[in-house]
Amino acid sequence: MTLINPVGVGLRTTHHSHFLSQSPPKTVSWVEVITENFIPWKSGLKGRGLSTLKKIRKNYSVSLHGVSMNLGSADPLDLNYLKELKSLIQQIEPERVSDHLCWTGLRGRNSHDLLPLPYVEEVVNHVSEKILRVQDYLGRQLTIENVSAYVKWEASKMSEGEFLSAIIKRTGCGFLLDLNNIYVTSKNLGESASKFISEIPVHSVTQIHLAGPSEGEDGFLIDTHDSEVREEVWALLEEWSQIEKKAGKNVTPVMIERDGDIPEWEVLERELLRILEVIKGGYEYV
Amino acid sequence: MFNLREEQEKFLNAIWEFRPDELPGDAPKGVSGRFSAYTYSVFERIRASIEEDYPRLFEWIEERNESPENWVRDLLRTKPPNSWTLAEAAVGMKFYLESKGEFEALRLALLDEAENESAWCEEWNETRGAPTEKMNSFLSGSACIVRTRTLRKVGEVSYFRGSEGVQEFLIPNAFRDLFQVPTRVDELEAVFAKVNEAPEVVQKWIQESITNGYLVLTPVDRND
Repeated sequence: MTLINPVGVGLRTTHHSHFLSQSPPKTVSWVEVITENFIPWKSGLKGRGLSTLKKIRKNYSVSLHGVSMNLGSADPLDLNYLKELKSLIQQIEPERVSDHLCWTGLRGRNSHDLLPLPYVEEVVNHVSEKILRVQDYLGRQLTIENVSAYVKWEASKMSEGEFLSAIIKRTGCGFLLDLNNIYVTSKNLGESASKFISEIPVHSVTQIHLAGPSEGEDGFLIDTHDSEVREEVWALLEEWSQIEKKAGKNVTPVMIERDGDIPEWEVLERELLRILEVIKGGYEYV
Repeated sequence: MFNLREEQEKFLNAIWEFRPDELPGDAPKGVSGRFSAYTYSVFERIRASIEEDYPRLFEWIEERNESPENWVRDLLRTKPPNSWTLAEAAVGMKFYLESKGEFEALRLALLDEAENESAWCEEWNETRGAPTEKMNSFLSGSACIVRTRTLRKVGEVSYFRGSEGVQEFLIPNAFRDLFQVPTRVDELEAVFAKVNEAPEVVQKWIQESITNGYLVLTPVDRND
């Protein structure tokens, strides 16, 4: 059996030179890019960077990770956005296409944040319908990610894990398990990260995110992706790894998302190597 | 029955209507937790991005002893961002400054944008040696500018990055013709003929750009 290195990284421009060099990094076998960086803007400016991504694509598989599908909004899907996404998919042939289980705006106003949803049946139906339409249009599975939350809706009738599970069951979509987001939400709202993990349909998880938040003086966490992965999050990865092994699931691709205060590649690489240590996979590079 | 649209409307309005002089953390009805985290993250993320993109503009506002935060907040209320891309929030800046009649601020904002555009190209190592589409569209058919560091053309003003940083030029008619006429001419010489007709400042820029390798004129195969 050939084992594939499950480690990936959020590709950022500061590290492009490493990925475009004669000997690109072997620490990772795949990269994730932000979809919106490669599609035309609404203002008419053309999305750029595609030729760089195509060069990197020759050596790495790619995941497209979007931030503006606005799946949870009461607004309908943005068909122009989906059209551009489909075109990008055809050009890049990504391994996974993901976005967030949240809402980002309403009536044309964009919040620039990933806002939480109320966990009620009506929203399960609404979001599921939109995901099914997206999957039909793209002709492939969409993967959805749990977001960090700073508030909760009092109308919620189920837990976040139950909410996610219901949508995954209804749509057959994949799940991007963001362990840092679980950590942030559980710490901010006093919930149990382990309970969340235990409620997820194990085999639906197609990818894992790790990241580091920033912390206020009172310990409140903001999901900024500008610090190292916390020990608590590494512990959640270990916990997940056990669940996965017990369920007989193949190892899920894991990556680190770093969006601010981005370290030198060598520093980030050391953190990436820890993924293999934690999941104790002994996976070989291929 | 849970009304998602109604609830989201309230949530978003509460973010948008938040003011820094008010007590933070007042969550809309039906929501509990640290609501101010959203007012912070939404507003601060956009403000920080705009400040990073418009250093000249922010400096100018501060010199007038005004608060850049208030300007940004006013911008966001006047022209809310309609896309996730933070740079698009900034696109609204031009309309906002025009509507306020702040033309000196607009001039500085455009210079900042020109600088950003250049920095973006360099960061992504993306446009060097490749056709620049904006210019290509002017010259499609007979010649294309295959390499340029032309930055931004807004109305009557064009911004270029020269050897001493971003420079601005008014675009006289002759210069606009330079980029419009060649769609109908066959010979590259006709482009140069237009250059010779252009005002001295434009000629100088073109010559310098060619010398410095920013601007390359090359024939294009009509069958392409």
